[in-house]
Amino acid sequence: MDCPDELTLDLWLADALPSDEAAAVAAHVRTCATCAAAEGAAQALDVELHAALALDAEERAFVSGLELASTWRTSPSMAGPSWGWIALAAVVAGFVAWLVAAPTFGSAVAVAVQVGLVTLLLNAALELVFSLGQTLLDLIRNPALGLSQPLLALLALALLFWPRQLIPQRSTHA
Amino acid sequence: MAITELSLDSTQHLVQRSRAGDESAFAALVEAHQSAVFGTVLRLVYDREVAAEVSNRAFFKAYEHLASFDESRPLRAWLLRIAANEALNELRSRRRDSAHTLGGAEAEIELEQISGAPDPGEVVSRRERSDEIRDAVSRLPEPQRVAVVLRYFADLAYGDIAELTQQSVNNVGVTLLRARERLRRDLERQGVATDGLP
Repeated sequence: MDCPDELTLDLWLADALPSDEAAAVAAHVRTCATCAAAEGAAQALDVELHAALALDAEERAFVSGLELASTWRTSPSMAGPSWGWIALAAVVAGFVAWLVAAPTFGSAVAVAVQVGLVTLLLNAALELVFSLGQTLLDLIRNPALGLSQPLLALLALALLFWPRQLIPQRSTHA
Repeated sequence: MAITELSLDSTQHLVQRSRAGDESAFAALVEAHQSAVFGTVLRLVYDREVAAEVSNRAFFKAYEHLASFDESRPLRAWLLRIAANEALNELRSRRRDSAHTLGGAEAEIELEQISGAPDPGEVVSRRERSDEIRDAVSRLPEPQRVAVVLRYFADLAYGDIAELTQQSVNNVGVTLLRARERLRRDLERQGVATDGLP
């Protein structure tokens, strides 16, 4: 067998090869100094990475102080409110309240709705009147600002569409 | 006294009791696996408070889904897969840089001195090298970092990593090879010796 590639050697070291292939690689590594050296280096790396990633003393102390054995029941996924259910309950409660209250306070509710609608319409009308008044006041105070721009626009339009034949042409005859 | 290891029989017994609703039995399982679960999550999210919260969530989820646990397989790998999944969900939902929690070198050195480590200078340099490697791991792209943490911290088999990350065993091997290659280049740039790295 030729030297296995890096991936095959890695999978063999991790016991992730099918048994027949693993046996072939093992037999080769026993007789190949290059592959044996690669195996040694990979195992050294394994040890080094394990050591580097292991919890240090401070982290071990921290996890001991967590007491997860007594706090796992209070997971946020269990303790947290379920907003969907809360919203559904609020809607149902509102509907029930309306059903109960409608016969008793029906006429009062109707009057309130009418008053509300009339208030809204009145408010809109007053707003319109006030905004018109405000515009007129602005024009009176500073007519140049309010009138010059529309006049200029009209002039520009007039020049654009003015019949060309009405504009006096320069004579080209001698 | 903290439980650090449970025999297969006692694990199976505790799992059966937990399935029957005995929360104290599950608490014993939590105590036995809390370091592995917390450590795996911490190495992925790099924030102790978040790691504690995610570990809690992972244990709660495990308790909820204990009925689906296949007793013929190791509980540790199953718990770590749930924890890693929760950590990845957390990372996806946050997507923000977290403060690294790589401190504690002094405490480690003190502890090793008390327990009779031979040479303080050697301890310091070993600690510094470990910190450099951890920093380099934290700079890996997420799929490579996940594979490295699951392999070299959680000690999961390639098959378990493949199942968790939804890829083939060969792809896990390729991801780890690339991760080690990237670590070597990164550490060389930092001026750290890389004898063991490919």
